[in-house]
Amino acid sequence: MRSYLELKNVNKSFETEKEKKIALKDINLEIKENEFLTILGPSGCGKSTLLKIIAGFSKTDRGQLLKKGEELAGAGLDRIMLFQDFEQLFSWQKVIDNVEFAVKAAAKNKNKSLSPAQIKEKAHKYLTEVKLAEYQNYYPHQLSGGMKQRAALARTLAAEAEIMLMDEPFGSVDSQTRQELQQLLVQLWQEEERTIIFVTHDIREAVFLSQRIVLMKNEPGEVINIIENKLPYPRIRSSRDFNQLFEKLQSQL
Amino acid sequence: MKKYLTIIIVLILTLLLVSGCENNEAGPQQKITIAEQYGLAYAPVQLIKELKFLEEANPNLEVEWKQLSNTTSIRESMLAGEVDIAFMAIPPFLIARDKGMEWKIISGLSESPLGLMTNRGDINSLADFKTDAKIALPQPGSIQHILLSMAAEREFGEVDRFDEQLLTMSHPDAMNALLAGREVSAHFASPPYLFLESREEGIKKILSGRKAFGGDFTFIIGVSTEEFYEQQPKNYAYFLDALEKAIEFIEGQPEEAAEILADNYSLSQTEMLEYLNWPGMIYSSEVKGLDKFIDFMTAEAYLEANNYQYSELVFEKNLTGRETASEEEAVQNEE
Amino acid sequence: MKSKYKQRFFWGMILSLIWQLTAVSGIFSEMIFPGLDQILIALFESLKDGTLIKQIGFSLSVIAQGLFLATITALILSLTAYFSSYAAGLIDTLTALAHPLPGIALMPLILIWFGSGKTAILIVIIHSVLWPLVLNLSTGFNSIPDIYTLIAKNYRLNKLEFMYKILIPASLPYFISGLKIAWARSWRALISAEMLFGAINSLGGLGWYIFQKRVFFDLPGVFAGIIVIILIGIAVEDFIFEKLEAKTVKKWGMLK
Repeated sequence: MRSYLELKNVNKSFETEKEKKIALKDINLEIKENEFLTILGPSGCGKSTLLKIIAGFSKTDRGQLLKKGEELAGAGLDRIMLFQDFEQLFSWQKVIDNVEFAVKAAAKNKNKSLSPAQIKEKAHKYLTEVKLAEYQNYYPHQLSGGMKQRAALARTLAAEAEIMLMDEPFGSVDSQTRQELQQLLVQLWQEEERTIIFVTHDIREAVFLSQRIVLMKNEPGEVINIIENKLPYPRIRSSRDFNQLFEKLQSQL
Repeated sequence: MKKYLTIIIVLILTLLLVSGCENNEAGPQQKITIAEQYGLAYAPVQLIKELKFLEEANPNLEVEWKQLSNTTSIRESMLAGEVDIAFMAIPPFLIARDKGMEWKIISGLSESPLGLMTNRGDINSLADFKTDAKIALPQPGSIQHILLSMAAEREFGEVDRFDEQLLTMSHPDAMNALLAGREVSAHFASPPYLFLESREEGIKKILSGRKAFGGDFTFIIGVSTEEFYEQQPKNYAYFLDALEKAIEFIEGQPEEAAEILADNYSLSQTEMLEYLNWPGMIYSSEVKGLDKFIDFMTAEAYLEANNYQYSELVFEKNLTGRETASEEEAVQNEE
Repeated sequence: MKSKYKQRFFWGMILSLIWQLTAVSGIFSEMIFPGLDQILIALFESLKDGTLIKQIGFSLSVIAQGLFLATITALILSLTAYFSSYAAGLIDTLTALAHPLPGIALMPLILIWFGSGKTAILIVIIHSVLWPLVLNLSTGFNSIPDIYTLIAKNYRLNKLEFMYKILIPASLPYFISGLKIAWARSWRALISAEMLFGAINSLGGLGWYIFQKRVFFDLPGVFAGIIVIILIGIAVEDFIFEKLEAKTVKKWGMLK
């Protein structure tokens, strides 16, 4: 069966004055449609680089990127990235306008035309899903870190991309907020049908969120193993199964 | 090492500061500061400088010559007490006097041809000036402006007829613009620019200063601050003597004067002599036309006061001679 | 904000008092140091007969035109430099050469090439304003978070869309601060240029008004003109720029 998203022999190195650093070596990966996949590894293992290559922000030195059998050309609205940076929101626009930005872009991408009222409605819907509707007229600088990420998440959703790429999006918030956001994310993924590729160094986060976990090591960045996570949703952080999987992963990294 | 360096630097700076202050403490009794200006009309003053008449008369006198570019700067320097004696046309003197400036006339200096020169073939008289034709002159309130206004009043009954067309330009700039045919259609010129322009093809004179005034008038007069007159009467007298001497010299021995002054004016001696002898170029200590200027400028609100006694305008000790005094004053003076 | 005005008012009154006392005391002659009463009379007379209003109007209109043209040019130059590295080299060199030059130094050149009058003054203004604007805009453009470039890629924005949807709003704080500098420089350059060019008799602006007063030995008039310059400067900074910032960068939490 033809896979949904395929990485074949992806290699990437960076040259500095002193050395040539191999960021990614012979990465081969198959990603299923609508799955929640995590790429887990220590810093420097190339996971963010890999995500950027999938997003089309940078090019692989050798190898191919295929979606449904066709090579991916650059970036696009089929693969939307959610960043860790709080600055990803446009500070000069209200929260709702930020989301509307994505709504409009999505509509244009699909050759649909929406009236301003419809655009507003859609944006409002996504904001409600992330439980931020109350703050839709606020400016980003007025929101807390966690709320900013929620808003960013709403915007990412509103882009209506098949694939959502997430680069340690919850890394900058406190652990309590992080857990709330993780819960929200799982809910949203279950409601909408999207493929999520999630990058993190936090093992517990990977266990909580994903169906499959790709383990990576650094120097050079390589895939060590791919582990299936068959725990039923919603995962319970204190459960024995959870902790077993945690330890298993930990031992391999 | 660093400490010594710092001390040395501080010392040097302090010395510089102090030396700057010293200049302001020049002894008030033995110094005369004269404003020096470029122009044929000021030639006798130049002679005083070149032939050192003042140093001859009083070897203890410190003579300072200050180069200032225009009448307004001179006026301000005199106000600040930096210049004692200067030379200028009658209108600027009157305007400041009217506003309370404490200065008076010491002497006439020169009468001079003045003229409105145009580079436009289609302009042959004042009547031909349309509103787009710009006229360059040194500044509002200058003698050129007053003369033009006088002519306008006489010919059209509109004293400010040309006020909207005036361009403030120094004589050199105005001459360049006129010759280049750029921007200005006319220039109210004084020597030597007047002479240079009149030599050019395509430039003609359409109004003479004499015609505009309706008679003879003194172009440049000498003025002194009242402070100088009162505080250094001896040195004031020396200056008057020097001035008288210079005027006599230049009128009586023009060839020699030309020889001495040619370099200073960057002219050949022949040219210099030619200019000195130009018809209408008269060096004299008389002051002609003062009353008429006062009457006109008061009528047109350039001046507020209109009742000037001669003694308010001219120092008691002066070179002007009696001809310009009114009958009454002449009678008074005799008593 | 209110206390700032109270303070200014208080100190302004004190300074005025000191001025008036000095003038009245006679330490300096009335010619050099006119009293506030004379100055205010001169001010009101000029306002009453309309000359001052006319000149203020002229000055403000010239500066508005100058700022407008300079802003557009600065935008074009900065955007070009942002998108093309060749252009960036050229524009950077131009700026480095032209920025240190005070507009007044260029006056002789401008006079020769453009004559005197409004055009020359406009050029002096544009020159004073253009380079700080270009510098600030360029800095602003290059300071926007890198992440916006990635977002633009993600959403496949073309250059034009990137420009007005992201680049310009994101660098607005720099633009406004550049504009403030530009205003200050151009206001000064304008007055000096008007004084020096003093071209057309009737309409030469505020600088020309002061020049006229000077030439006619009307020192209270000169001071009246100076007061107007100060008041306009304050008005623009406090009202126009404050409002502008309040509605934009303050609201967005983007004040630098």
